[in-house]
Amino acid sequence: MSLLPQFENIQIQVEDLPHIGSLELQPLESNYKYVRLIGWGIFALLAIVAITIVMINVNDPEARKWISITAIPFLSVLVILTFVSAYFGFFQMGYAIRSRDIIFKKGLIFRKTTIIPFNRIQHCEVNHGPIDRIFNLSSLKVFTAGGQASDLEIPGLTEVKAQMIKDYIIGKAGLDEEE
Amino acid sequence: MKKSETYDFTEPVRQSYVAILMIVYKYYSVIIRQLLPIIVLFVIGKNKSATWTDYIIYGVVGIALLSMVVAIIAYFRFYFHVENDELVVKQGILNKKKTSIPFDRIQTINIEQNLVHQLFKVVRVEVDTAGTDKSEFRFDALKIDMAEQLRSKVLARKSKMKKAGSETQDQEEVIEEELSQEILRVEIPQLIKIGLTENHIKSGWIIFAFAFWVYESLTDVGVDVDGYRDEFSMSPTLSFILFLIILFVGVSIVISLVRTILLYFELKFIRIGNGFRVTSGLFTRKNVAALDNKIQMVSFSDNLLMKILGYKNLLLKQASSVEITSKKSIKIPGCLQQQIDSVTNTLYGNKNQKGIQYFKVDQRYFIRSATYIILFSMVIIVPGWFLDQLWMVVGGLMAMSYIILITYLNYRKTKYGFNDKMIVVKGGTFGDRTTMFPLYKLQSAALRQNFYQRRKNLATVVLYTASGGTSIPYIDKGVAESIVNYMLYKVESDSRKWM
Repeated sequence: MSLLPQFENIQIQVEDLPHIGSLELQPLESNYKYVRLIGWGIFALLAIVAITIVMINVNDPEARKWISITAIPFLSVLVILTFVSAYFGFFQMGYAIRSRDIIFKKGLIFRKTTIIPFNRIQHCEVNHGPIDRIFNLSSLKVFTAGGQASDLEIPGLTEVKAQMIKDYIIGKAGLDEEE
Repeated sequence: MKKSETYDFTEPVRQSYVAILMIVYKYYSVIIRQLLPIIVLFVIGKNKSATWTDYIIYGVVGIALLSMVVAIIAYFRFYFHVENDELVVKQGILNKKKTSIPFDRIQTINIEQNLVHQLFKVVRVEVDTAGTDKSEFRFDALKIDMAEQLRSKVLARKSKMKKAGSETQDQEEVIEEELSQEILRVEIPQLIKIGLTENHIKSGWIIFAFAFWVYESLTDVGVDVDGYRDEFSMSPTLSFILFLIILFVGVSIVISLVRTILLYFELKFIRIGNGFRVTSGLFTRKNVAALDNKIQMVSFSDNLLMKILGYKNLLLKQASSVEITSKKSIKIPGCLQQQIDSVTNTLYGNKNQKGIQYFKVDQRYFIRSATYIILFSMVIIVPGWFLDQLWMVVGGLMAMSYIILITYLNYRKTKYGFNDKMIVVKGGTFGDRTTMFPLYKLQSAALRQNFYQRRKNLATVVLYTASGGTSIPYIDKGVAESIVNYMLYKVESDSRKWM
């Protein structure tokens, strides 16, 4: 019985639905790009340390030569690329909250837009990473039952904002379950 | 026949004594697997000095005794009972651990029997729960009666709680309890046919893996395998290679046949209450159940060989908690299309599957993959050409054409369709694969675009359910967005629970 009005609803709603493509996404806090850069900077530093240790311990000059002409250019390209993608990737990230779902977009080369309806959210959590803490930032993680690939994480939010979104989502998710 | 006792489960009870045996076996198999290289070394090792042998024997006996004692303690410290619609288990060797699992969290109770279980008329019981906590556990051995009663108690209580909880459930769910109907029963001749039409390439991989494992273990313990190989070295003639290929194919077929018989002996697939149950297995009898509301996705597929007989493998994919494991999807081989139809009709209703129109994906899905495959093949073929290595050119070309053929077939078979209730995605290469699920089972959706897709205004839609995802590759971006919009709308306006 209850199926019929719902069906009629569809016909009207489909045209009215805000298209995900035309959504205006909220950018992340601009400090977040430094978090990304520092994160990759630490990675690059570790790589350089690793190479140095290897170089110190390898005595064979022939092997040294090979390491320096293969590993070093390869690593430098890798480090530059990660820095470039960390920096420019930041500007591709954005989120949106609609009345019934939450959207997050990311990716420089491989772009991915994930949408999770509120009534499918299992739980969410606010995290502060060590680098996040320097800039007073948090990330919001939203979990569904669909496993890791389907989950969503919005980084680079101020702590207050992250908490606010979390409360909003939890309220919405809870409401739908009681229906 | 047998006298059946009734159990009320209010008092904490232990498992059957056979459980000690099973726990000991469990410990031993872990220990043996860990110590295998040492044992192999001991057996084939050359320096069998007396003290060395003694130490090993003392060690083995010591470990054996210790784990036996631990197993016995574990057995006597394990109690379970039912309290306030919760299954309560107390266990732990040093520190006591109490786990209580509410009935409504229990997803299924699976019963299994291996040879020893069959001998003592006991079963292994696995309790699967949904949710993010790892409260899944198993009873090593329970009396058959006890296990059956526990299961029916849990299931009965579950459905009662559900009825009390929500009056406005679907019409489909009114089809009630205890109504058991056989959907499929596999007899020996059919079982052999299923075995012969299995994917032999998969069995072939098992041979490879096994050979590799033997090689690794032998090298681990210091046997000079490569040295032996040199002794046998001969120039591989064409007939020798042919012989190897035939041997490989033959062994692959035998392995898949044996595997099929072991796994699916006396397979019975029945509809019971509001779920399905599958019983099968030769030495290890398995009895797994899938309740309708736990099934998130239905998928069926065949291959070229199966097509001849009209057989399909049916997969019922159930919601899984932490990660998606194959354990949660139940495979039923040897189904005919009509049996699959009857399953999907019971699950989703006939009328909900009507009016689904299918659309193809963009041809650039094929073109782009083919371009990459050709480029990568050239890395092998071109040097081969210049270095006069005929085998590199021929091999490269053959591999390239084969992969391109597969990609093309896959492109031709990839189709998607949906109506206001269901989504169906078709795919496959030589065979066909169909995956379907009701829209309200969707957990989240994603649009993916790589650089190339952005230039051509294409996108890939990925739809996630609680038992895995499915994707619609390379469709027009606008269409992809409308599809996602529509699916989200359906999910967000549907108050039905996905589980």
